[in-house]
Amino acid sequence: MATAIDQKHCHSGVTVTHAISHDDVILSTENLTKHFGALTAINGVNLRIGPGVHSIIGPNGAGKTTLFNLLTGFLAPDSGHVSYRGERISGLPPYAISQRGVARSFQITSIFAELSVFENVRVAVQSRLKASYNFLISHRSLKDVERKTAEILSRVGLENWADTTAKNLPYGLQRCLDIGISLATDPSLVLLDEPTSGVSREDTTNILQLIAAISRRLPVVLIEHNIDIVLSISDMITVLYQGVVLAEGPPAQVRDDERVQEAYLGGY
Amino acid sequence: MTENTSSRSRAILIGALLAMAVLFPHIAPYQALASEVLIFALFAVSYDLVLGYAGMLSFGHAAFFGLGAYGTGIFLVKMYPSVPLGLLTGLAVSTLAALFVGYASIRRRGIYFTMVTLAFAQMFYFIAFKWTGLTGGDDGLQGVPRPQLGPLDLGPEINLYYFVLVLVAVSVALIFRVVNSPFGKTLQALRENHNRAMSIGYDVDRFRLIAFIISGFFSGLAGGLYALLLHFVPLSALHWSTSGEVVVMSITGGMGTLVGPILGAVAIILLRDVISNYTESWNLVMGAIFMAAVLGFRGGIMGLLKWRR
Ligand SMILES: Nc1ncnc2c1ncn2[C@@H]1O[C@H](COP(=O)(O)OP(=O)(O)OP(=O)(O)O)[C@@H](O)[C@H]1O
Ligand SMILES: [Mg+2]
Repeated sequence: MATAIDQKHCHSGVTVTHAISHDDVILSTENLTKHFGALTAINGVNLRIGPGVHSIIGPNGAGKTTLFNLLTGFLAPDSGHVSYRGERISGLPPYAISQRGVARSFQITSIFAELSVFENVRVAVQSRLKASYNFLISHRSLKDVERKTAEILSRVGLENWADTTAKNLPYGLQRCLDIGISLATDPSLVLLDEPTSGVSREDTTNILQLIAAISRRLPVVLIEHNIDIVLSISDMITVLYQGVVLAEGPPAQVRDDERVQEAYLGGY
Repeated sequence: MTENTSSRSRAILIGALLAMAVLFPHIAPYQALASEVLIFALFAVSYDLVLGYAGMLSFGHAAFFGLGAYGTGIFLVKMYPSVPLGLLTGLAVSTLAALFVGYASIRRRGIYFTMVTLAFAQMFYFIAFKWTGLTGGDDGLQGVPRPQLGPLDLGPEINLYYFVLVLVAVSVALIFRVVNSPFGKTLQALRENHNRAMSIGYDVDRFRLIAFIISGFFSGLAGGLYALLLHFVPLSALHWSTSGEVVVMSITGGMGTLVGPILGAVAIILLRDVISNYTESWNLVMGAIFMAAVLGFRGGIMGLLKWRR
């Protein structure tokens, strides 16, 4: 359906911007392709991300993380492109994409290990300001930044850990901090790469609640291996297999798709 | 509460340091040695901005120290006898060099960055070595004057010391400000995690470049003061071993603390003065200190102090 709309607009010469705002699509890709030597990690992927939780699933090595790296500028596509709010962002460096409002977390926890939990989030909040280049004022003078930091910390449940050095946080809370850093950049779209991997059952519950809360405000793209989680939390699911989109649709439809069951779910 | 106590204890610490600095030339073996300690303390603090805060292991900082010294010295010898203008010339030369070297090296990481900075520093060394007419080549630049500065006669060593003390104190205060600014905090974040810093919107290379330039600026000031102190610019100011020395001071003192590199500079310069009475192989001794610092007490002198507490 979505593809049909897109094509109609293209043929009738209506700009992509219009099609996107009309369709509530905030980010889309067109024929996105990435090779690593002989391996095609992402192969002609067309993706349309709208409100709610959009999960990307697929077996190990399917290309999920590579897709995130293409969306956030950590890799440049070999062909195809990425559009965000009607602007082509593929080819931009990661910091420019972040400045436009796309935030991500990493599959392997990525925080500022030797800095305090508070500073981890504070520096992310500060990233929205030109004052980040100011070397003649005290960082404590940015009172709005400190307020916003405290707010983010309580949103991700870390308000009592502010002074802890990040590397000393329990693992589950490090994952929360990673999400907090992403939220602190005041994004309009959040990409989370396996936020619950390696996390205890209890912490997983917390993180899922956090994701649900985020998705009420912002579109969330979620890479997740646990199929029960995916089926319960997602509004839309894209199944990647060997770099190709194998199926796409709401949870019930993807669950019942025979090819998905064969290629992916059967393997579990 | 804690903030009050910490700001009070910081005020006490700064007061004590300044009091010591004022008394220092009177207890040092000779007054020029006291000035030399301060000059290298400034050099080490400037360097710490790059190594300790931005996490960039430059092995080319002799370039900025040496060019600051030559810029100041050449201006005073060949152009006009004015200390402020001489120092400004040295600062301009070293800052431009930092811009140039930084621009060419900043995109490289790890050992590649280190090698590029070393290569540029070596290039400046050979230019100074060959361009005898301007620099005095191997003999160094002789006869750098210390012209009167308004009412202040910089001739006596004790007067020069207090002049150096004021400039070094102001510079170190400024560098403290820099590391505790929004900019300085960003440097620490990108030192910790380059990719994460990029992914939250920081143009990491630009921050690295600015840090490098600020560091080159203050290293150049240290070099300019060195030319005044010695009445002379030795070619060795540009030699790679000068880069090595500032690395050792920073790491021995405890990098990423600013106070640590000051202590490192004090310890190394005083020790060098004592040991050079007994042996020619100072570099060997310094190498041993360095090994001890890296292997035996990580975190340097600052680490030891914290550990004792
Ligand atoms: N930088 C790279 N260079 C070469 N090959 C790569 C690179 N990054 C990923 N690959 C390869 O591309 C394929 C897709 O990797 P990717 O990390 O995107 O998979 P994934 O779906 O995230 O898997 P997982 O579930 O294990 O995280 C894999 O075969 C991987 O080995
Ligand atoms: Mg992955």
